[in-house]
Amino acid sequence: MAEDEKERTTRDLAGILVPRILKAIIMGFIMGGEMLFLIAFPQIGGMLTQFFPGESTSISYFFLVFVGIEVAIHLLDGTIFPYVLSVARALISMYVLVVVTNGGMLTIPIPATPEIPIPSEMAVSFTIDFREVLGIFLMLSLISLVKNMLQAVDFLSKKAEEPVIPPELP
Amino acid sequence: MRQSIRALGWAVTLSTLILVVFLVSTFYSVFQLLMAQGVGFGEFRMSSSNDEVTLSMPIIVNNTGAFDINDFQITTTFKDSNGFVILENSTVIQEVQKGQLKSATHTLTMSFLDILSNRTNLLFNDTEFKIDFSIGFRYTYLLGFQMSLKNMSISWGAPLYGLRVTGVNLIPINETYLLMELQLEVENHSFLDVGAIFRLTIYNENGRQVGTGTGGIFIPQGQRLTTSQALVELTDPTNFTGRGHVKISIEIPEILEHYDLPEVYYG
Repeated sequence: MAEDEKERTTRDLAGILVPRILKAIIMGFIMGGEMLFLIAFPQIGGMLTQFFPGESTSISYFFLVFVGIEVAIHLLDGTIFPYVLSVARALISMYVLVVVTNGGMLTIPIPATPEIPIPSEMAVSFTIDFREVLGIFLMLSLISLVKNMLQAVDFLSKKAEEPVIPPELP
Repeated sequence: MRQSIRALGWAVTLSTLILVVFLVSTFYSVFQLLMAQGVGFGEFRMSSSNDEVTLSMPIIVNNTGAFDINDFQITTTFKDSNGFVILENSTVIQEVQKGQLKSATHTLTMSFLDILSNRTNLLFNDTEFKIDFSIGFRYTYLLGFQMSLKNMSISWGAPLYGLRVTGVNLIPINETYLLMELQLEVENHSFLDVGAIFRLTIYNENGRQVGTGTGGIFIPQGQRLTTSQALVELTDPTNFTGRGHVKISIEIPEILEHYDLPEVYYG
């Protein structure tokens, strides 16, 4: 009897955890895992470092953090932690967005090629100024952060409203 | 509360989506504009006057994109070999609306007075100037694009390249005046003719000043000069012994007030 109850508990636990783990893996892959695979290829990793400041290893760490947070959010579903992690993710993404885009001013040096022969002492560069666009993105991230905090407050309020059944009552 | 949060989430998602679509369409439009040669340059022209050179280049902006172009600007900066800015000029077209074509002429006027004042070394030494060129515009009021070319070299030929007085020869005219023949080494590497004035002070072998003189040189562009003459007045004829040294200075009106050359011995 006790063994049957133990087996049912293990089966119930597996029924809850396995879908959650699968969902965490799939969402983790969607939210940054595929970029880690692409960065592993030297051509793509090199291209990314050309356009964005920082080495390819720091870009990998950035995606690793995002994947880790996404996996943790889905594994800890039903607790307060997904909301806390979502707020953390919003803050991190805001900071990284500013750093990676150099504050909204990207300067791309144009190297000499056989089609475009540039003397060695000359420097040719292309600059994109998108500070206003970055500001809009940061504002949307801030609203998303506020949304996550409201969700956390809503979760806590619902938890507080749930009736507490003492163990001795049927 | 849950409905409000859900609505907020949808609003953020929708706004992000609209912004991304807008950015993609903007970049595509800019790409199309540049590929269709929406920005074109006419024939580069150079004209010169007495002491000025003007470089001009027509610009044509044909906005075939989907949005307006604002603050279209071309800037040229002219720097010496040390990186100090000699002159700078910008040409701005305030707005080119969608489907519109506008043109302007970008000019850069260089006055030799501006270039050579406080830069005596440029009179006697060939060097290189650096030009920085940038072209930029704002698109849809949100995005700015700029292409910069830095450190383009342009040669500068010195008007009095290698100026040296290698010797002097004194020819008496009378008791008070002498004709001084100066042996020179000087080349005019610039593209303008140049003239200068020599001021001479003659000393005898004891270091006593015995006379003064004035001479001039004129070197057409690209030419060499090997001799020049100056008229010397003996202010102290009794102490003139036929041997001594000459202090020579050179001046160019409005450019060079006074520049001492090494002393030359005579006799």
